[in-house]
Amino acid sequence: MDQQHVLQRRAIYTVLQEWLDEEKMVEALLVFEEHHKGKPSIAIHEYLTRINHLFEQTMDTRQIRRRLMEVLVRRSSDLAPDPMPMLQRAQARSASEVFDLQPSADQMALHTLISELMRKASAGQRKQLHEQLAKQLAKRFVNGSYDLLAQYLISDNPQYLARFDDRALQDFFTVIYVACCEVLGPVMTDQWFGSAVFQIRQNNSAAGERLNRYL
Amino acid sequence: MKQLALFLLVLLPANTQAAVGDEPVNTVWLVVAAALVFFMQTGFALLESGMSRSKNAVNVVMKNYMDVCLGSMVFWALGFGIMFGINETGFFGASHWLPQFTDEWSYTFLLFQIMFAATATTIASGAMAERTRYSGYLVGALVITGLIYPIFGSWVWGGFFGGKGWLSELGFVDFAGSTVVHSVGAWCALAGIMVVGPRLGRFDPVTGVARLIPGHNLNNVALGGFILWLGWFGFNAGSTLQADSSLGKIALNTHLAACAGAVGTFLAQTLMRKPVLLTHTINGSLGGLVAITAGCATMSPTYAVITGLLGGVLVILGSYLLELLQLDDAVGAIPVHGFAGVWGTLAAGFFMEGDLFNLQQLGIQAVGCVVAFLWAFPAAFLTYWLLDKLIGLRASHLDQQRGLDYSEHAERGYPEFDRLPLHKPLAG
Repeated sequence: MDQQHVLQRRAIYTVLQEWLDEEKMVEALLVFEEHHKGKPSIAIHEYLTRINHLFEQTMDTRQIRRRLMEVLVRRSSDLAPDPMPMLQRAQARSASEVFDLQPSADQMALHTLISELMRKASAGQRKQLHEQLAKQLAKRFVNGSYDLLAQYLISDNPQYLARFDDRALQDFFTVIYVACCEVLGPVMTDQWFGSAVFQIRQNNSAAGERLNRYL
Repeated sequence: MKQLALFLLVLLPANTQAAVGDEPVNTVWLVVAAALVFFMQTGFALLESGMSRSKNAVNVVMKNYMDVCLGSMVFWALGFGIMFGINETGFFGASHWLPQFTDEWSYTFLLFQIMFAATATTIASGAMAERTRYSGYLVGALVITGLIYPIFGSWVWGGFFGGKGWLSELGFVDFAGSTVVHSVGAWCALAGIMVVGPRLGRFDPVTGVARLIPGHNLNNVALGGFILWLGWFGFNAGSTLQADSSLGKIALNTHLAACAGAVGTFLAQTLMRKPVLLTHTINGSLGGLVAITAGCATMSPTYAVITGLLGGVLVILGSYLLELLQLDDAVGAIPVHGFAGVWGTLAAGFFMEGDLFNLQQLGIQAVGCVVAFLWAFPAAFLTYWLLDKLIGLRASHLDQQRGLDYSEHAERGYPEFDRLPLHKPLAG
């Protein structure tokens, strides 16, 4: 294990405890693990900007950065213990919860649409789409959401969608639209999306109505 | 008083001098010409919205509509003074803000010039269509009409009330505005598309090859092209500012160049073994019209045909060049107004009747074209860049997905026939 990385994680845990409750603390540490592993301490401001955005800009990032820099130069015995066991427990709990929730009718409607679209794509297009989606999702979804959505796309299992609210799923749909535009071109994308939505509305008008919240 | 009036007449450019006076026929002609130029906005609206996807049609029309409204007011209040006010330095006019005139003719002149300013402004709307936010675009249009266009205009046409623009002093000739109106508008559009970026999926991310995004209504495109052609008779022939015997030749040159532009496009596409598209053909005509605008009064019809023909060819070559550079001009406005405008301005010097193939004049014309680019492009780039940073210029992915009709205006252009239900149905 990279000692520098462990030190950074402990420093973040030490400082952010003053600002965040346990649930948010776990989220913040997961973001660190997913996106900032291996980066130098000097790049810590990028991480703070990201989690400030994640927590809707309620944190005083300037002060936190100063505190972090102070803490990082201390002896390691002054830092809080490594929070990795806590993170592992949280991740295990989250994985077991995935299948506890059932997708709503709205989410099932969205799932029908996405499945329909993915079925239309050839194997080569699907591969390109997944590459594009991976890039886009990594930019917009953090803290384990990325993994869930990636697993959803691979498995085509709607239960992965159950943990998301409308806003997140609308974002997810937009990411899929953008990736399709990049891979298939805007004209074919509009045609595919248009015909899939039209078909759902024709077959099941209630599901068609439900889709509206994500479009 | 009479002596003062005579002195002012001496200072004015030749075409305006001749027009000053109380001849009612001149006023009637200029008002009709102004109405024709205004009608060109209809052409722009139809052409640009027809070349856009149905989910963005209303947004394109709204931009055309509002940039006339806002642009006219800001040009009346500010731009006219900068462009035509007393121009002692040669670089900008500095009088006649919110103008009040003592003579009726000046009001007629102001009306005509307002329509020109609106034309320069509206060029960017098509190039930036389908991904530009409404508010950001309108603020940009205000800056173009209030500052960028009139400042350059003052260098060429300035000094209606005293003084003279420095390019005009140099001998630069641009009768009706191939450069002053069209190229300046096109360079602003170029800056706009560079700041706002291409439409989603316009270029393949791996190969960089441009993907065709066809418009939703080619009949509207054709109708818009015809209307623009009609309006151009007012644009070019109106620039005489008087009803005299030169109108016929100017209108004839205008017409021939438009025809030749379409033929030039046809030939270029055929020689390159590409399909001859309606949109390209109409843009070819418009390229011919833009090209002849600078020299329509000073060329013989033969040279008007050559000018128009090459204008049409340049439109095609320019379109491919932009695609190669991965610049997304949604309607081909930059090749039409920019590249054909530059060619037309050079041709006006080179094919000038009575002074054919004068290389010195050609050099002066080239200086004017370069100066137009060096002024308009950076000024517009800075404007759009600031707008992007301050209020946001590019529509979000979600808004582009839904279409700007819905996301910017909460209405749809084609509610009954909507075959792409990619956005929420409107409430009620």
